[in-house]
Amino acid sequence: MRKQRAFKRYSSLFIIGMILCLGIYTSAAINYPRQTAYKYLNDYAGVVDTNSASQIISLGRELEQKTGAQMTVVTISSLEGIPIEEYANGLFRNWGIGQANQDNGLLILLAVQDKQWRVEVGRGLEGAIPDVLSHQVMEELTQEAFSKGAYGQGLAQAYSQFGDLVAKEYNVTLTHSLRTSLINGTNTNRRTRPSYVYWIILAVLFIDILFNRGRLLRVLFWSSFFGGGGNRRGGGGGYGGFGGGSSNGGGSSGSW
Amino acid sequence: MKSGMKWLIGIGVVVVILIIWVAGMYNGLVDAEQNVETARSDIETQLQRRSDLVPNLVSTVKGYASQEKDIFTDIANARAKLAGANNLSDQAEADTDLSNALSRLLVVVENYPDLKSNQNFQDLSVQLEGTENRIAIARQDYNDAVMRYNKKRRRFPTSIISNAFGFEEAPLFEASPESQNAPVVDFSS
Repeated sequence: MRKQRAFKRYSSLFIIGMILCLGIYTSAAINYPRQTAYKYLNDYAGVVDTNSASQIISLGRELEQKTGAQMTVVTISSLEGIPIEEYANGLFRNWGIGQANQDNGLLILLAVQDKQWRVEVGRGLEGAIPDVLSHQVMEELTQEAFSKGAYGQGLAQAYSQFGDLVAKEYNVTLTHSLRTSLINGTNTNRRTRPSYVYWIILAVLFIDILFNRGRLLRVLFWSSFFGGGGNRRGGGGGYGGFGGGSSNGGGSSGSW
Repeated sequence: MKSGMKWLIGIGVVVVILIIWVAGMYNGLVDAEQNVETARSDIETQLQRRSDLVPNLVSTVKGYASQEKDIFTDIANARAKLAGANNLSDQAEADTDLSNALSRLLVVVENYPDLKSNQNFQDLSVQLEGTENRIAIARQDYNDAVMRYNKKRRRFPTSIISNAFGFEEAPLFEASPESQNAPVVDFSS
């Protein structure tokens, strides 16, 4: 009995030790800030006015509810010499923006003192928002506002435009959209997702339930708890955490 | 007789445990190797993507700056070298050549304001910049995967398995040191 208790104590100590080691291991590179409770807006530089902030947050929330895609805005005061591309990709992966298997996340990063922006687009949204288009959106909707110091206004405009583009990909409309439009229109060669893939998956699951007593379904169900758990990061409360999405460096950057 | 049976069962259990253990290590190595392969094909996809963008860029620039023949030749050579490269270090080298030639091209562009304000050229440079960023990330992911795999491969006791089954060391994606300092070009200005 005593032995068992000792074992329990030591094993929990061991687990705590492991977690501590992991924490040290991951923070060895760049120190990324923790996500704020507002999830869709992380205004570390404190440059976004309240109107724009509530606009961004309500749109981000609506978008996630309707499509599952996660878009977030991050403002920092300085990159401290790190290239913005590296910082944005690292932050994107560290937070896991977007759903794990869809990679449908988008990050707008603003480094105020460096006068640089970057839009990092997850793999799943690269079809809806190719690099040229993300560049065009930022150039047309934010450049003027940024140079006047109206960061919140510019960000809310660009955020709304990106939200509309994502919503279009998922065939939904957003009530909180600002209905912005681009001068040259959106000249993209859009990919449509093949719908037959869904039907095949559905058919397989159906056959599984009929002839295999749903074994595959059960495996999938349980593995969704355990698989990919390593990717999950603690959320900042409020609207919950991100979904563990990744990016392979899509998007564009620029300065004002 | 009875003790003989016990021995047999004991040995049997040990053998089964050993097999499971070895299989676990083997599968771990296979997974790590597969990650390296995946990351490698990601690099190749991105290199190809850039190589495909280049002709468009060159033809756009040629319309404005046809006299910069040296750079066009260098770009064409680097592209041919990249297409002909069949191992990783050749690929890395050709990639660096192409990066160098392209950044020279984009320095030259500064002398042609009409070209700089051309919408098609601007779009192409955004695409090129995006592809270059993707290459950088794919490359970093590949090198991370290689490092994880090589470490696993060399560590005891997995090293016994990797030697027995011929798991070979994977090469890093890096160009030779002298070709590494490419000039930095800022497209956004």
